Amino acid sequence: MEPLFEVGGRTLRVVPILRGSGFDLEIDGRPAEAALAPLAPGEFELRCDGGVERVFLAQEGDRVFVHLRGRALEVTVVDPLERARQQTRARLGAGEIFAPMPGVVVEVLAAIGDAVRPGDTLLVIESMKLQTAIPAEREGRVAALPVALGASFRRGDVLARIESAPAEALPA
Amino acid sequence: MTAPFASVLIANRGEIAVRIARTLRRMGIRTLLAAHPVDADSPAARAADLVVPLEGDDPLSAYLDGEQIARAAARAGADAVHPGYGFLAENADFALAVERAGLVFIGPSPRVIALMGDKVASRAFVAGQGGHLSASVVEEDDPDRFAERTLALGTPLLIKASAGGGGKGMHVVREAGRLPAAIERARSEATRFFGDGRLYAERYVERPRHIEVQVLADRHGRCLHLFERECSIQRRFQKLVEESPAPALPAALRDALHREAVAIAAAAGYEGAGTVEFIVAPDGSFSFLEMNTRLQVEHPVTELVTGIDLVEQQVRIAAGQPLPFAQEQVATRGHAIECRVCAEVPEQGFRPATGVVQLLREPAGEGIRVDSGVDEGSVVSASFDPLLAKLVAHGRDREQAIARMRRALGETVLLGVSCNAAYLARVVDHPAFHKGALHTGLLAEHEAELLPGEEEATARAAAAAAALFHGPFLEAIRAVPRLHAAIGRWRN
Repeated sequence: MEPLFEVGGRTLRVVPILRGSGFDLEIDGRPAEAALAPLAPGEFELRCDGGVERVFLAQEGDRVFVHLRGRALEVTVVDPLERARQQTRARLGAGEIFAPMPGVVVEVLAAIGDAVRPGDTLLVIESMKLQTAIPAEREGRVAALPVALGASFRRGDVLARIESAPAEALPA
Repeated sequence: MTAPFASVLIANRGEIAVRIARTLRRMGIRTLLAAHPVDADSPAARAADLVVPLEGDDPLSAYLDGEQIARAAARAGADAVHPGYGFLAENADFALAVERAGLVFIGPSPRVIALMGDKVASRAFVAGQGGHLSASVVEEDDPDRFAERTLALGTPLLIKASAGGGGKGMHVVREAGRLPAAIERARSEATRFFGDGRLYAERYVERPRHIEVQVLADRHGRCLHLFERECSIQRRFQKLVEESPAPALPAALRDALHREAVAIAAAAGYEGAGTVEFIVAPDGSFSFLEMNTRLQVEHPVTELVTGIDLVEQQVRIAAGQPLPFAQEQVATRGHAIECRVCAEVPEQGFRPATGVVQLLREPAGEGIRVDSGVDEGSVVSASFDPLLAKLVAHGRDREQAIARMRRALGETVLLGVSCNAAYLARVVDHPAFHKGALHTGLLAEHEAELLPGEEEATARAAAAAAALFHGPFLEAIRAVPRLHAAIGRWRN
């Protein structure tokens, strides 16, 4: 299965095209004629689409960090199977709200069973002295608030779960 | 000159601990660092002669445990404690605990910390000295009528925490109807951050400049200023870019700020390095904001333009030595700018970022100073302030300092944790910054222009580089050349 590369909100399909003993890349259906040559630890010369430039690269699991053109970009290498699973979960309406960053819950404004609308603040979290309100992303009822007031959580932990209210329970 | 102390303990971490250690070691002082185990292998730990371990499940509370640090300092044989900034630096009880342990606290007396560290108390003190103050309302004077009295000031208003600092608990109110919500939010933040929910309100000045004056005072009656710093480039009421001298500041106003800062510090019986902060309105009127009774984050710009090592002077003053120069002997040379490199995502409301620093290339060269607290492998957690490093550029004038800063930011590579280096480069490049007509709303005013460009070509190049670097991707290709051959994806 060919992996997908997510960068800055875009998803690019990168396919290796074998050529002689090496290979070229095809990115989103267009050949890129890309090559990478090491210059120093973490530092490379990238040839791509006819241009030559200096880039810095580091990898942590499925995340590749790329510094090029004065910017640091994070490229996530996504397994299409895993992505399909995630999309299915989202469509089935698990209604989970994940922590955007690690932190501590400093205010709990919703209670289990509360009816909420998109934008209603459920929790206030704090991370590195910054407070962020966590809103409901959909209409429904608060089914779970797994992190208690004052407790800490990691990025990606579930902060709340909103279940769709049955149709008859919704106000007319 | 002999070393004023044999041994000094640094009660801090990160870039400021590294920076303090640099001066202590240059002065021939044995340098101890109080560090939680999470920082046992940090650049700060390596900069010290000895690490004194702090206990605590939560690293933040360990660095805030003044009693433990004072005891540990005494046990380790330190003569004095340098608190840096943040943590316990403006905590009068900590200064007392250090003194009770028989050590010298490098900073002003507990009495002066208590007086000037509290916003309401310090404003009352400055008012008593005939200093410039904006009209304000203190909640505790008549708590029941706080909202009513506040509205009498007229909008826009600024609600602040009496015990505050660092932009926490500050809220601008432009419509009277929004006041009750702002008061509640400010009180909740003030209680949480400072354990003290007291508030006060003042008239908000539109397009204000934040200008502060560095002062130094010894125990022999000498109190002088080291000129000013412009700190108007802020996000979320927090400083991001600072410079010295302040650009386009009329000479008479500059002198008035210097005079008032020295008068306030002298009247308070100040000892050591301190900073008097002012708000300067577009019409040139100014008012006292607060005094910081410690070393400031942005102190390097003053060091570069005056050539005076502020940490060295703090240590010497604490040891009772007189300042070795008079006001007339302090001069500025050229212009210096500092950029704060923080673990954050400017495009997402400056949300803090965490992670592990995977690759780090710091700039160097003429006129460039880097005060860094991280290196490759450093873990950036949510426990602490997001400041990673400070880049400081010094030039013969502002133009050259900007050019050097621009080059330094371009040479900075930090991978593994999102940081604001590219954003800072766009700020420094922006015509409004070049022009020097600065105010604290400048970044918000130009928010859209400071966003990164969305280029498809950049995303393609990044994806190509990532694919050619990503081990599993390359292995997969090498493992299945025949499969690709079989499905005919060959090209010549």
